[in-house]
Amino acid sequence: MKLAVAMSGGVDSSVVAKMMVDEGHEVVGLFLKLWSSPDCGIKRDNRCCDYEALEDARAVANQLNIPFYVINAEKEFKKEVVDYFLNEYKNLRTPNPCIVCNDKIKFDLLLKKALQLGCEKLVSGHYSRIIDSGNSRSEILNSKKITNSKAQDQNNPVIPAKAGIQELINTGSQIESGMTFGGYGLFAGVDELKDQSYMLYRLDQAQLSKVLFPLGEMTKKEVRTLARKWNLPVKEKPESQEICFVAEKDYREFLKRYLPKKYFSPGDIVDQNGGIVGRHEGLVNYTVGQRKGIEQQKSQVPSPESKGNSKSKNQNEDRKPLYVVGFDVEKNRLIVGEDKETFKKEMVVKDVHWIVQSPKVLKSKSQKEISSGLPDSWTHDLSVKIRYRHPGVEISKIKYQISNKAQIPNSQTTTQQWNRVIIEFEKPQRAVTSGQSAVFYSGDEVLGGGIIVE
Amino acid sequence: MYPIYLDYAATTPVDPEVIKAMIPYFTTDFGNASSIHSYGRRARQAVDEARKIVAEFLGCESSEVIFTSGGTESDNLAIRGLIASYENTNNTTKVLKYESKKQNTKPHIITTQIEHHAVLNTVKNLEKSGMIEATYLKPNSDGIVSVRDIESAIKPNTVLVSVMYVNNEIGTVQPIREIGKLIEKENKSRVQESKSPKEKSSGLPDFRTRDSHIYFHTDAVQAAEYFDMNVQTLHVDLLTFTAHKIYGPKGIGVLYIKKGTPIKPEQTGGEHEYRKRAGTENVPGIVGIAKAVEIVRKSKSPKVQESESPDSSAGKNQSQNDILRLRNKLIEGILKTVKGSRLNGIRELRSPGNVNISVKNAEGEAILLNLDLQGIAASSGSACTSGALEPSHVLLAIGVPAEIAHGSIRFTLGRHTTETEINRVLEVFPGIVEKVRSISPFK
Repeated sequence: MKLAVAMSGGVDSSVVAKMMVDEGHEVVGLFLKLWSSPDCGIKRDNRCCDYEALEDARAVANQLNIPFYVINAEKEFKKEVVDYFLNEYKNLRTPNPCIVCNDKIKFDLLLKKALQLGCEKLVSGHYSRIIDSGNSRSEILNSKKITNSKAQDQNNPVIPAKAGIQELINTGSQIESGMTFGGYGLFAGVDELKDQSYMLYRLDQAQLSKVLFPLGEMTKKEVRTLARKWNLPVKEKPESQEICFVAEKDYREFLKRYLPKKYFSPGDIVDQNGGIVGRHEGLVNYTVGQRKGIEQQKSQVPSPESKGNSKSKNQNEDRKPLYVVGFDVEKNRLIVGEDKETFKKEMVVKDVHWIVQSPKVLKSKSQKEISSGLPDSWTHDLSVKIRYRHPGVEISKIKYQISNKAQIPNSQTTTQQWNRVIIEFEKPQRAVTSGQSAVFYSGDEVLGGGIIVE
Repeated sequence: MYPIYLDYAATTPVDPEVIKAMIPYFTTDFGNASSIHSYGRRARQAVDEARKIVAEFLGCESSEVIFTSGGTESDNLAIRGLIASYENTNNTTKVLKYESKKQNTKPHIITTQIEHHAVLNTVKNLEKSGMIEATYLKPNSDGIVSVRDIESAIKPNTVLVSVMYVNNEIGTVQPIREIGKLIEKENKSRVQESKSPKEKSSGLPDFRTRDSHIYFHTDAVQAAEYFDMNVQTLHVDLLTFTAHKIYGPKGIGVLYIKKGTPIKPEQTGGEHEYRKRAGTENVPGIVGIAKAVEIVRKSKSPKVQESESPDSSAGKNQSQNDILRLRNKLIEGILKTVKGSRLNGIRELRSPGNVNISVKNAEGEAILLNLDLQGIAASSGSACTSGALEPSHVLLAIGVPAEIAHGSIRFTLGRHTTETEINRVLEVFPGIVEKVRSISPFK
């Protein structure tokens, strides 16, 4: 098969490239040149990793002796990802740029390039699995972890890809639930620590049908071991965790540079009753559930106009840690509260994207008075993750929302109506943050997700 | 699949004769040309002889030839060096003062929108830092800059006109000789004006009393292989060319500086290159560029040196005629087989090696990568800008709409191009365009 590998210069995509070459595929390496701050390399203290990353990726491509191209997506990335990122912060939401990048850049722009080059699929090093059910979806794939059955000998990791991609797609493993219709399913990677399925929920069937994630069946440890075994030039490269386009150590520095000054006007920090407890340096610096940076200011910089009462109040209060619970934009106030005040029982999710198809069948779950509104098979182990690396929480109820009225879905509920839903958690959740994504899972399978509104 | 190289405007393979000439200066005659001893003298002799060959090529004096690291440096030295020379002139000669806020006391540069970035970004940079004012002339849709436009752009404070000889992207040939003559005429009339008593009271800016001269620079990097390079017939004061476009090594170029043209050196150091360019001479490179020039000279018949019409076959040697014929075959073949394709830049006033095609509804980059996967090396513009997905500034300047400019591809033919290679391109190109067109975006 002729394949394009998305090479970032990291360990994961480098191992993937080598795997594909070893399998005998005709491989083309593609490196995405994304936007990075123009100050890169000019101002001090900026991490500037994109040239290094490019050189690393090229070194791997040279070792594998495959054609390697830089695909310039600076303009599109700036527009779709960076501007979105800044705009969300302007509106006091906490965005997840990687999700947008996956959907609009990696698995759209880059995928298109791959296909234009005559490649059948785009392969990337994401820790996630795509399973093609063909027409008999229900018979396949259980999402139960395969890790258990796998040899865990780190020196001799099992390379599932050796079996061949086609086989990997076809066989899957021992199945139990899965979905009741055909199409491509997106599943969590078996390495729970590295699972990136959360970041991929916006992909649709057309995209999933053209993408391969060979690392979905592997652990990071195994991947690292392979990189060493193959002596790839990037074998010891550390993980990158930061937002790739932010050169500064702290994304807040980046915001300071790119957002107008007015977003950083100082204001009061207040408790839920309006009592002033401190000062803040601009609401954009805070996100719901955040604890860091509040106490300090409380004791250090009392607001001039509130000196009198807040001082005495502060002193009398016990020193419980405070968390951001909300914003009062009009008065430029940061609202804080105690730990328990950061918990929420439900949330509204907009722009919901369903990977397979929007749910149709109304079913009750476990005899409870619940209308999950999801197909029977989906209600099994139905959960939602409200941020990356969130362990997930069971969903007790889904309603759809039309003109601010919650409706219990039924079999007539249209795809469009499924676009905006209200989710009730089994257990209250801390820091339900608007702008972050809520991703729905049935076991290991990603059903879809959307953006948290409130 | 054998590789096909059609990117001669990006760079060329070094001629074996050039390599042969260079080798001794890496090994036995490795001396520093500034050294007093025999090693140094041998190196110096080589540099002197090389400079003479280049001077003959350009029809100038040896002392007017400055060796640099290449085209970009030559362009920078010509433009920045000239502008910098205005800074330090002493008060008695009354030149413009940069501190002055008055617009017309800044020197004025006229250039074109289709220059190579080595010129364009240098002028923009000087403009941005407040040192000069600049006019960027738009060529016509054929890709040719009009002499009349230059004439009407000239202002009392114009000190430099920089127009490229042959465009690197679309291969169009600019009327350098005519521009040169125009500027000469303008300079003459300025001298007369300044002598007349009327001038004294006209209140014209200070600098004209010293320097009513307009200097003319041309970036001739893409012209050296095919066109007249005689600075006398071209009427230029400054001329840039580089070795690696004429089958010489990379890292060596020339700036011709006509005697009397004020150029302040850009880098400080020793007194190399008539104090115009400090730094130990790149002796092997200098020997290499001279050899490359010699080979070019041999290949150009005397007629071509005089030829006004670059596309006429008259005056070209066999090899150049071959290239021209193959170029025309490629142009005609693509225009015939690929729907929605067009040739960018006029065909008649064009470098014999240049084909620049735009294809509707297809990204040039994708076409380029597909060609590469089939072993065909082409370019989507200049090598310096590919990888930046901005549509070419040259194509935009000649009025190609942005979405069509995106689908452009440049083939440049050279000494080793064969009929078989052109046939192969014509065979695969339509299929590639179809494939690229068939993939639409996902979202």
